[in-house]
Amino acid sequence: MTYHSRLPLLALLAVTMLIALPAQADNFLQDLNGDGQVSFVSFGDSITLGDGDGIRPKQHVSRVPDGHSGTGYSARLEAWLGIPAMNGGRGGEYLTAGGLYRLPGLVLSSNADIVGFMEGTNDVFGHANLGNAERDYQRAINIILALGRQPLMLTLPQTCCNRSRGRPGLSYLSNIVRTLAAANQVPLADVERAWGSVCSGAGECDLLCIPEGLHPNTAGYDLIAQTAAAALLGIDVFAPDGAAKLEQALGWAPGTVLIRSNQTE
Amino acid sequence: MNSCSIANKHLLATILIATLGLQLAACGGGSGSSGGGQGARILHASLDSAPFNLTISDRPDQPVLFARFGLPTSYAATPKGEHILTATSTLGGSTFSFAVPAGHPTRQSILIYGSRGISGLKATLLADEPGGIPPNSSALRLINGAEDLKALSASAGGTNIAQNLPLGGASAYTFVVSGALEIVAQEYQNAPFYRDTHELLPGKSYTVLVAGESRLMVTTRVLEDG
Repeated sequence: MTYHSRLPLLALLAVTMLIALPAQADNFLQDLNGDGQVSFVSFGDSITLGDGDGIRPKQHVSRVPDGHSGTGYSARLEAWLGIPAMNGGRGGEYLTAGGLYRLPGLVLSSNADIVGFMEGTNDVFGHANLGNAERDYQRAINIILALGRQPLMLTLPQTCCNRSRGRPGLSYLSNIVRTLAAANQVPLADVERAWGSVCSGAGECDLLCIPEGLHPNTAGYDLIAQTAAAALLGIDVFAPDGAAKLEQALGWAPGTVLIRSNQTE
Repeated sequence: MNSCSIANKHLLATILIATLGLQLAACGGGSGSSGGGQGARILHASLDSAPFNLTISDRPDQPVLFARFGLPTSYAATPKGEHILTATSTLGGSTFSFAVPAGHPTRQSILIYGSRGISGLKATLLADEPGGIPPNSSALRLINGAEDLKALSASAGGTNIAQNLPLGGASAYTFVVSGALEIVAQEYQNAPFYRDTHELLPGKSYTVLVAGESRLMVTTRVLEDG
């Protein structure tokens, strides 16, 4: 994707101007802790960590090599939005079995104003009891808010190919995340919906390592980060002009945003 | 300074971390303000529960408060006569209603506590009235909204304000000499999980609210009652 070579100064200027404009009700890039900067930390599993990042679309990957992690979506947010972003992903982590216990310490050890939360994929493939998932997602939101930070909830990217059996479980969890984001009035980056605008069904998907079908590739991480960036900027990326607004906000060429509007998941 | 205690099952001891800013005045979360008159607020202490809206029977379709876990709300103005206070989860499914008679306390709190997944979600209506506060004194009480903290005690400036308070319990107000006092909270005879100094003003009443789940995260906040 050529936009990675965009002059960073232009992007930074664009974002600075956006932040300097009269406050938009939905712009979540706020310095909540008063340290003079807006910063971000991501919490999640290997998909947050960035496993599979660096693998190109259509490159044959039956299993993502151990230790093959790129920078993931948080580093892209840092580059595009000009805000420090820490990667708090941990490979193999379950939401319903231990992941939540790591969250308070991670948040407190960072000075992040915004916490991106995306976890649950391992719970689906590990046959965890998803009956506790709603309460655990709610706990996560409450923990982040009580610690004075802004949660950004992300739904889960879909799978395909060798991992297509996880699709119903992932959708189940993503629906919970959507419902809770609305009930809690916190921002939502609907990654699953964005995913579905590019890849439909359980067949091959250019956003995933193929035929492994679980971890995003470089394009997949681009899409996750684009969805998150739009949410943080208060842009409805699924609106007919949403992609254009995001491109304009970040100084990108038309057509850079992967998400297609007016698509149902 | 308010604080969060982190209980991590992978650690041998509870970590006390004080990071939050001073929050003596009840603030935020509400669309109404009693401005010194009568009012009701929500104290949301359930870590696994969604926010609650508060409605009053004289205008049941207009939520007057939006209460999140662990974060204080302002008081919403309530009628002088009898009315019904209803706290409804924004997720649906959990609703608590309280019939309030004429002549009710000036200020009241709905405490929402427990856990949907552990002991069950519960609520109780509390009167936030300490009675006549002596000169140069403040009134202070403890509320235990923390799942699995079975017997909470607290002191202010060395004066005990509560002993062995169970989950859902609210101590009576204790009068203390106003000023900068160290407030300490602990369970049983264990090491305190909260210790910080607060400026208590003469004639004012305060609540020390302990909320959350001891195995995950507990928050302790000192709230001004009105």
